[in-house]
Amino acid sequence: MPHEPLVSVRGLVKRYAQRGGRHTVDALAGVDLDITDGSTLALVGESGCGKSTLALCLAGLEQPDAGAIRVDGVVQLVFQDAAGSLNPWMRAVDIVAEPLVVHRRPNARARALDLMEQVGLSSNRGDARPHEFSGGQRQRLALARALAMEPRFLILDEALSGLDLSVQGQIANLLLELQRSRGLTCLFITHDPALAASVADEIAVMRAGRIVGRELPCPG
Amino acid sequence: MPWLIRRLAHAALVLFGVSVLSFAFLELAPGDYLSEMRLDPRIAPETVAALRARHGLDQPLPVKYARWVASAARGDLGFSFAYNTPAAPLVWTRARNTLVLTMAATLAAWLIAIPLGLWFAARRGGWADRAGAAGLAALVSIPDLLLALLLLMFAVRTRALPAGGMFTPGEAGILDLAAHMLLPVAALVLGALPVLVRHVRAAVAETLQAPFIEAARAHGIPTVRLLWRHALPAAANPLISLFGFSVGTLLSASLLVEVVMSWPGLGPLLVEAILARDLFVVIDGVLFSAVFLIAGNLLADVLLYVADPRIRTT
Amino acid sequence: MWLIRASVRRRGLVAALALLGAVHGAVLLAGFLAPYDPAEQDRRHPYAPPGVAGCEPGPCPVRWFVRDAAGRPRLFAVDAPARIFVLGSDQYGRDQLARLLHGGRVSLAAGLLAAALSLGLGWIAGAVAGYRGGWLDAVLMRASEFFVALPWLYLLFAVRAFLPLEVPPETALLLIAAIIGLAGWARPARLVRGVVLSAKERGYVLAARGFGASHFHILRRHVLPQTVGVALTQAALLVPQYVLAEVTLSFLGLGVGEPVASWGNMLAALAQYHVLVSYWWMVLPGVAMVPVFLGYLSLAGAVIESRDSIGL
Repeated sequence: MPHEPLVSVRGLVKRYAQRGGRHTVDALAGVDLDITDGSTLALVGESGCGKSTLALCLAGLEQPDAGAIRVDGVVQLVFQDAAGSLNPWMRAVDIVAEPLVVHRRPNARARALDLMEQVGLSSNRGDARPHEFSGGQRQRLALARALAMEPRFLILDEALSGLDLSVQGQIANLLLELQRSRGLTCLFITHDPALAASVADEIAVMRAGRIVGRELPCPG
Repeated sequence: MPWLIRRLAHAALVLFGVSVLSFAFLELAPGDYLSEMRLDPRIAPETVAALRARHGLDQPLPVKYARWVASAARGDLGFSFAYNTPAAPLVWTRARNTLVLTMAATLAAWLIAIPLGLWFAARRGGWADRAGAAGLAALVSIPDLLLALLLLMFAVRTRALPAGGMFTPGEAGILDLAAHMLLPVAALVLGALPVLVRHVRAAVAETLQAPFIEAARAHGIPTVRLLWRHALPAAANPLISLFGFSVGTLLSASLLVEVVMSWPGLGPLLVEAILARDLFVVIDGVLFSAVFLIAGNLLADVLLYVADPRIRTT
Repeated sequence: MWLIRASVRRRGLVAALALLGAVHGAVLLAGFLAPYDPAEQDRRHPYAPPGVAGCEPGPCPVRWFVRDAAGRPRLFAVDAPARIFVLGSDQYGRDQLARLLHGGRVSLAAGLLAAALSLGLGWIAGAVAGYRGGWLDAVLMRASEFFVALPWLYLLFAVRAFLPLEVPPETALLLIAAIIGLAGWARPARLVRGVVLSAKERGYVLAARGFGASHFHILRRHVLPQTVGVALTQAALLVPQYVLAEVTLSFLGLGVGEPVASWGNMLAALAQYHVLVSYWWMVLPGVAMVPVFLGYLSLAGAVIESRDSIGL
């Protein structure tokens, strides 16, 4: 059953100035990418190949120098460094509620507590601060915050890296569950091919700023 | 030495900025020495107008500035209305006196701060270190104005030291000068000491943790030699930067100490000139202090350059 | 071990706050604590030493909690015609205690106002420069280098030199506070900028941009709260320095003038040789600065340490 792609990227180029602006480096050297609605695409590649730059461009946090991006619906990004992406002075519930507050949605706190439950965190812990959570729980918090905006497209940039294997598995399961229940489209960025195979419907390989191949994960 | 040339050019630029800014402020200022003079019924308005025209005070700002620069180039540095002479001889003498005082104070402060800082660093956590820290903390809480006043009070009450001035009238010996300098130098040194000692102690204490010091200690090098020949040179860089800073601080403090102790330096001249609205003298005074400051920082930079080969590559 | 250290630290903080509370409280209650008005002259007793003056034939017991001739409550007094000068009197026979307390209002107000101004300006400049970056950052930081390089007393003099000399005391107070405050914006600005620069690179700022938070929201919620520590420390360091600045300027006749008392213009009497030799109590307004310095400097130390200890 052919789907209209939810995300489509054409000829994306992003250059960074290097060493006082004399040289530039192409972080993205013409990326073409389609992601089918409701699917999970894993993006693998070595560090420095442009994966994170692509993620930032897709989330609108970097302006590409050339090319076009089209996404139907809200995009949200979850970072690798969950601890760093959570303000250590804020309470968990305020962190999750912040996007709702920024966009003046009603009942921000109640919805934030509900979101915490959805990602498997007890809403009793709403008043705790990030450092009182474990690494996996912090990543769940970051996920809950990303879900607050009710995105259709979720980018997970190395979101499971640095976690214990068992915790990785738990969060991967949570992701699959959420994806099913909410009809999410995911871009799962990782340098770990095995992890990519376990969560993705399809795998894209990136090298030196380009997508060099797409394949189906071999089960097992 | 393109590096030195660049630093000199920067210094010249800052001086230019200070002088332009001073003139700009002068333009904004309400009244001047001559407008106060006009209030005096004994002086004819024509005289005041003539003086005004002669010194270009009726001219627009750029002309005034150009005239002052020309005057500075001739060596006059404008005109002092209060003293009715070219400003230069006045300002030069005062600047020299400030320089004498500040240099003596800088020298004395460092000569005291280095051994003290080394001692405290060597006895980290010991009674001397703790007593020293407490003493310095107490000293920090005594503002320099109070320090100067208390010293002066002590001098006039005990008559142990000459209170104020630079020479006893009729005398001009070096001993007489030294006796007169003791009080203002003491005020300046006591004011600067806490910061200097604390930094010397911190810098040396840090290098004492370094592996090469541990190695030297293991080789049985005596502590005193370890401190002076190994730890102190290794701690030199931050201290040399601090030296430039200390010159600035001491200059600033000396302004006040000079007034309290009637040392005939730039400080009292500047205050008098401000109160009398003797504007060229004010500008000259401000500029001279800026020159001293920049020179102090430049000196520190040059010393740093000589001391640290790593800087030369950049 | 760290528990003991923490309690020592807490004790230091409490002691500093208590000292500052006492100083500021005494100054605020000047009208009650001092038995006379600061401008009230008694030509019979110029330069009276501390104690009771004009007590003949005596005795002159000190009465507590009394009302003066105008019906105002005073902590203590002696019966007229005797006068009680706890800290002596000045050349017009004015009560030094009253002038010290009322003068403290002027000096402390100048210091606090100026510090608030410096901090406010520095905070805005530092936050804007650090957050926005680019040419604005470059311009502001160049300017601040200039201000930091000039020793501030010279700067103060330079600016004061070009302002009117004869101004009423209230205007003078505001003028002095404004000059001191304006001249001192650079250091807080540089410190705040440093914190903002590191704060805006944090992951949660990027995350906030990711869900569409405005720059205003990010600054208010994620960046500026982190500068509070630096700002508090700076405030505690600036206030005593600025009190001294007011005292210095007024001492030199460039600040707040008679008949209003300020610690600075009270000290100006010491410029006369005979005062310096004979009337030691005239130096007390200078001594009054010591608890102010001690209190604010230990406060700054306590704030720095407590920030270090909780890892901020």
